[in-house]
Amino acid sequence: MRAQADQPPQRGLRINFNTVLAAACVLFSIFLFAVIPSEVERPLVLLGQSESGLDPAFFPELVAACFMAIGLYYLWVSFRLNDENRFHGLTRENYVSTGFTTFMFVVYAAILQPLGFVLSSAIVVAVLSAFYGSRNWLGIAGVAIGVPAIVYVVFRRALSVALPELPDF
Amino acid sequence: MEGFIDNALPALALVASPLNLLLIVAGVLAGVAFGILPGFGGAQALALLFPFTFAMSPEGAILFMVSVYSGAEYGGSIPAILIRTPGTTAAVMTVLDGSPMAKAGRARRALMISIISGVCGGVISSVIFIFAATGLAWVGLQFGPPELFAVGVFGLSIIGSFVGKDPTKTFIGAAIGLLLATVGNSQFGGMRFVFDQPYLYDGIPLIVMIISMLAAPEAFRLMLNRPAAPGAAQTDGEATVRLAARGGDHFGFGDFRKLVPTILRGSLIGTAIGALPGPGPTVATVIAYNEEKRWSKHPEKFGTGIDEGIAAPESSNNAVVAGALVPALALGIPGSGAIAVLLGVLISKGIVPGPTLFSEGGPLVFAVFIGLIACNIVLLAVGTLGVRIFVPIAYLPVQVLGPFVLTLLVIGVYAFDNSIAHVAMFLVLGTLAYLLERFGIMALPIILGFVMGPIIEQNLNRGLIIAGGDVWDIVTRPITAGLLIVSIMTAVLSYRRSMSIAAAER
Repeated sequence: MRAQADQPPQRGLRINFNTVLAAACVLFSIFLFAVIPSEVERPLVLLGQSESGLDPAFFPELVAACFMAIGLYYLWVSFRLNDENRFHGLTRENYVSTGFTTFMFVVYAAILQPLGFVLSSAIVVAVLSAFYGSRNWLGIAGVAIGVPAIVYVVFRRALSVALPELPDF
Repeated sequence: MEGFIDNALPALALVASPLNLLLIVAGVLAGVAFGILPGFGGAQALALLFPFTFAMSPEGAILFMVSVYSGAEYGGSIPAILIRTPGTTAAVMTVLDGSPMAKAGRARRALMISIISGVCGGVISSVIFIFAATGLAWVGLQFGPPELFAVGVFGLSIIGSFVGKDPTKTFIGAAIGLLLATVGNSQFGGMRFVFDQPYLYDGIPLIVMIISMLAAPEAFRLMLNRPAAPGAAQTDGEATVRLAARGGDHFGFGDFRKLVPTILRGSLIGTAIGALPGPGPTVATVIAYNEEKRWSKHPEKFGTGIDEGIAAPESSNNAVVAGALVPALALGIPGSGAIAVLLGVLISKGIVPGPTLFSEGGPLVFAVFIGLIACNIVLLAVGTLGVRIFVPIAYLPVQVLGPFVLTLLVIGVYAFDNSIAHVAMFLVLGTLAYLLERFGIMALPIILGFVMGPIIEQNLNRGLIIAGGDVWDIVTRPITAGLLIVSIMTAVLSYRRSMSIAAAER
């Protein structure tokens, strides 16, 4: 809203942030209608009669139709909207940070089982701490090892929650 | 009365067991600690503490979680009063009078009013629902698949209550939730949308979905060092208040007596708003504050640091907790993010929320409300004795908090079923939730669609089988028809309300 207040009033129809979202809804709906025949398995038919009261594709098709209806309606409405693009609030640094954090989450998921909870958490925490500007290496090491170790002891030993174990090297 | 005693006595025994009492104390302490952290509301606290419930019995887990929820709702008001930074959105109204009172050197008085009003609100609403539970159990017995289908439709119709300035995005969110709920092995005996990926065969577990949608975006923000707390930017050195006793700081019985009408009004507003799925504690505190101002002989004094300005929102805030549990337990409708996590915990423990829970799981339902009274008593002790200890938590460095949050989230999604696939789901869904938030699509409508979708589809399917495929037979049953009419009215009214709010904002 603040961004709107700063801008002069805009006249006429214009493509904006919301138009992209609306178009994405319509395209997604088309995608759903296209994949439903192959991605929704039909129920077993016994003695010529279905055991189901509802077609398994009914609900997905209903949702796909909702996406289409909402998308088309929003496409029309969006031309008149002068909404704030929330992605504009993100700096280049934010995009890099978000991308790197996501990448580290992927790495975390990949190494969690082979390296065990403590080691994989320590690596991810240390890398993320260093990436986000911490240069106190003693502090990084303390937090990276200390937090996962404490969490591991509490959950594995005290609460008997199964967590990926440290591998035998 | 007989049914009441049959359920209340075993429930009392459940709550009074030493282990469960210990869990209530631990839950309150953990909830207050998380509630103080700016950006962490009840939902995030519950999502992060979910892994602790793995080792608990079903009743222990639910008592622990409702204690966390109550603690978090109260905890949010401590930084609201002391450092003008509401720990939860519901504590925003407490800032208006809590902060000026604290700045005037009466911080202890503000905190005492906050805790006593909150505890009264929590106890009053719990007592109301203990007596109402017997009636709800009878209602539950009248529900079959067609009625449950209508409950699902009603649950979905409340998404209008969550809309911000753009209602269409709320509907997009609900559609995403409905679609995600269809992934995996369906009740029809076949797979849907698994794209030949074996880890999708069992679908997306509710708790993984909830943690991903509610807590992952918060973890992202934490990593990006962008606190999302309402009013977080208000934190500054000047606003920090010392807890030194000064003249007028004492809060005695006479002061409490004067506040009784305010507390009663706030508690009833909180109870009623809480029982409605959708609005949640923030709406309750805003209404309670405004009503108190309307009833007051000195409305001009509101905002300057008066007792009623703290008592009204705080009593309604805590009263919402018990109120919000009713639609959740009786209908399976998650009226807020925190309640969605609670439902996830219940389901992970094999307890299915819904109309039959009140009739079949009577002692457990009673134990929840009796447990709420117990946790409010614990809150009173924590609030009067331990506030000083909790305040530094609001200043916990992100470097420590971030890793802690990350590891707890990973444990929550991994250890739930010892599945690395759930970590991958968390990763994908969490990133999706963060990006959707940027598009203005919030998490709660997605969760609501995800929870209500299977209820609607499964019960419509069962209803059609029972009715021999006759839809008319389903929709004309009295309860079903009534609920469907209420659903349409709810959807239309809330949509119109949101459109007028949106128009006013523009």
